[in-house]
Amino acid sequence: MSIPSGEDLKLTTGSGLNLDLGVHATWQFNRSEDIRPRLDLLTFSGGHQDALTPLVQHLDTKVQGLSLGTEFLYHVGDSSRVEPRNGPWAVGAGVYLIRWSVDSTNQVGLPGAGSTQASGTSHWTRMGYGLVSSYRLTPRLEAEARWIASHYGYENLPARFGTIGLLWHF
Amino acid sequence: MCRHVHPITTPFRPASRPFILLCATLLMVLGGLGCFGGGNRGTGDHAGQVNGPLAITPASATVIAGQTQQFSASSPWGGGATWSVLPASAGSITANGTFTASATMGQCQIVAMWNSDVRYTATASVSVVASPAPAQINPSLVQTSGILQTSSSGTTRSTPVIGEAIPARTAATPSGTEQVRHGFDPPVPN
Repeated sequence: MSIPSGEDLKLTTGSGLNLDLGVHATWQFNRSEDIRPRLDLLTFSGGHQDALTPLVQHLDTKVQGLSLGTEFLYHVGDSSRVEPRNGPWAVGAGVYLIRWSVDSTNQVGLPGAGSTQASGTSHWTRMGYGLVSSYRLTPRLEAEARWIASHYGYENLPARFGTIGLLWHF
Repeated sequence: MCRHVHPITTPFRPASRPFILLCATLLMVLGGLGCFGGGNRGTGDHAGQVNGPLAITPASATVIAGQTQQFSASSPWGGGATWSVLPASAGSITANGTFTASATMGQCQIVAMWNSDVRYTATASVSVVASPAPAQINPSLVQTSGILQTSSSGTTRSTPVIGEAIPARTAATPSGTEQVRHGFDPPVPN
């Protein structure tokens, strides 16, 4: 699940919780350090804006992000534990390449003079940087929280969002 | 005999875990407050802020009914635009921005939506006016002077007709000599 945190992204995505799906692999360096490559599909709910001046405008947008990245995790906690790692807690940072897609429908009109409408999808690929915290619930189930900062759009607007998720280790 | 086996462990440093968690929490809070990220606060995803990065030229125009006016839309990132006229009865506009006014006089808006990202729009105001009445020459208002002049009546015509002969003109100069000219004076050499 993800939620946008920046005003720019909230305008385009809405401010609700959104469902994400992804896969990851884990490369264990040692007892304390992991490298986690991951691919995530971020689907944000649609945003809607209305304006009355200078023209009557209705703007509907829907945002998606396809994120390919790598995270470095450092396991903290009671190092006296033998398995599975130092402890259930891990913190780290990630770097991502995010392909943003925005579906837009823009309707512009004049009162009593009709309206015109255009629709289209725009794409941008931008870097993203994130902070990760995770907690191992069971040997196979892990809960994580991430905060990611990126940019999107032709004007390079800030795109910041947080995610919470459950990871299942096969 | 009971024997306790103690696992071999590395020394535990209690200060390290709270410190790392504190740093991570602090970074997340700073990030949530917008301290990272940079970028530009733009207009593209803000409805109602037209004529931002997308510009339309000219921003306003007066067009005679039935005549055309060329508009162009430009953005810092290139690309074309989709054109519309509001209200549609005011005229028509082609894909390359050539507006043709209808016979209806009044105000209308030209709307350009950027093809690369339709969230960007730009508008221009157009006044459609009636065409002026054709000019008339009243012979009674033509005055004569020392130079021989000819007068005419009827409707003047400002558009040349290709292939039509230009009539010769005669004029009397103060020196008494007479010149024959054909419609215009030749350019004076520098």
